[in-house]
Amino acid sequence: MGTTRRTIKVDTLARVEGEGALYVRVTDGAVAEVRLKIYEPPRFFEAFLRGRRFTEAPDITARICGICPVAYQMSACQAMESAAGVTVDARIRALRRLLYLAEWIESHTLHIYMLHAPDFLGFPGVVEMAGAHPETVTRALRLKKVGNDLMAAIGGREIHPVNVRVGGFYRAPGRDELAPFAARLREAREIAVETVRWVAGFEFPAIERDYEFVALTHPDEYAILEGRLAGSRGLDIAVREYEQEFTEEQRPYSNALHSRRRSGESYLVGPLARYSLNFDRLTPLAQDAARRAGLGPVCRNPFRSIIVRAVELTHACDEALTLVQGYAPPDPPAVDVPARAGTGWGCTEAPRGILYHRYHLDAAGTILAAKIVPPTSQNQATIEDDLRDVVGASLDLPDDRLTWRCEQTVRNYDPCISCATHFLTVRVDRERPA
Amino acid sequence: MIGIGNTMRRDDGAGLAVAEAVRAARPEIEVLTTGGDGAALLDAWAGARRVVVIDAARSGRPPGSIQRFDAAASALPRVMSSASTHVFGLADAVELARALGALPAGLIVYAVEGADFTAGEGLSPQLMAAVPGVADLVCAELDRDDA
Repeated sequence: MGTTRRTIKVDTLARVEGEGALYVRVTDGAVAEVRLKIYEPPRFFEAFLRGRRFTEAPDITARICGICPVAYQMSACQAMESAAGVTVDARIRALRRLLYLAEWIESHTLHIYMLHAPDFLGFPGVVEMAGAHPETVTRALRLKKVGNDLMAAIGGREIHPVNVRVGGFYRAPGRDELAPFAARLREAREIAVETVRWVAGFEFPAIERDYEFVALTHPDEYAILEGRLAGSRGLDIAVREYEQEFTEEQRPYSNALHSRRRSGESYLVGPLARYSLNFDRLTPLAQDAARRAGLGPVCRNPFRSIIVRAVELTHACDEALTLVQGYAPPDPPAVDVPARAGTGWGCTEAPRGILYHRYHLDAAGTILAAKIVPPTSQNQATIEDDLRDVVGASLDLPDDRLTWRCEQTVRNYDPCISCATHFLTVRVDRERPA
Repeated sequence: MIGIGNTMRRDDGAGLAVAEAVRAARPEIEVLTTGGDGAALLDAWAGARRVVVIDAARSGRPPGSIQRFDAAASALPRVMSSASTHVFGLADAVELARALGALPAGLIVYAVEGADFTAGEGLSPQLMAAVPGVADLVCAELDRDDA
């Protein structure tokens, strides 16, 4: 008997940002190859930043991603402030955190309801889901709008928040501008708790993966804006040591870079990693929602990431409410950050995981070199590992079901390929044995 | 009117350039811009009676060519999603709004065919040339009193 070969091919992967290609080959009943392809070189923005003023980095990098501009701004600001040796005061920090939480509310709601839930309920997309469950989708839009409006109130009503600058904000919103959000966030928090209940009722493939989780960690809060980098296998480093532990490699079939540990291992960033490393720093309400949903303090099932996102959504609404209630406008709205020669490092928790920035600056504050590592490129190798496991465990499925399961596996990550590239065309090939 | 686009993807910024032109020419028209996130579009046109949306398209037509779609009457062709960074984009937003009964009574979409969607600032010459004409079409569209 000769070798039997099966290739799975999907030309478009729906509901993933951008366009990309996925290729899976099965030989003699075992997964021989998995490739997640990304087509466009991701390095345009790094080149574009060279020669620009250090103060321009937040606005330029915010344009990399339409879904998480705040994450880019915050990692850039932190890097520039670290280069200058400046620390912002508590009020600026609180307002930054509120803006970041608003982005989490928007992004997590989008992913849970618009992109991920249809997979579990058997709908091709959210439009079909809205036909069957209009009240569910309306609820999601109301939740997302709270995040959207809060972002606009703090960041300004443009595509990307324009009010953020190195050192803080151009203008701090008045107390009266943010006060009306308290009632809306109270309602949002209820919707978020209901969301946890809702997604916990979905059916999940029984798969547990032995990930190395990597996330920011902070002693006093669920880390988003700052902290040390922690891992589930003992990693504990400062942000500035990131490149000593992690490296990027170019794959022949992909223009995007895959991040790995220096040891060669893949690792996981994002909701599962944050949750599993920092569970006890979620607000009590979010912890309680997780327990009621049947989650332990660690979650290794990538399909259950939809529950973890909903738990984080609960946390985001809950903490945003606290911040709005305690809001005092920073005065002045920004601290002075002088130009200084040196290197600055920044790392914050974008909705999809850690976003690392590093800049070299000259004495005039001109950017000499920039490095940006988005969460999706860090998870790429892990997504391929997941696919290997999922395909291996699902070989008895017919073509269409197996293809769909592969797509669902990729969508677990909400891979924002547009951070690394613009167009992602995902494809899975499958050839039957002769 | 709502302009959709990304100024860092060359001709993907066409919708935003048209928005700027309309804003400058006709201050009485409410002009909004977005990066193409479908849910944001639902917010943007909520409560409006007549809306014109401008987006860049990549459908194989000559650069600068303009297509007009009556989105209130029927679904947009799927190709309208192809230039969007977000898979939950304009075409999905229209259908989601339709499913939820949240579509404006008048919703016209203009698609301007782009030539270059690579990373970088600035429109291609063909698109630069097309912008004023599209802005005129938008204004004429909103001036009609048949709604």
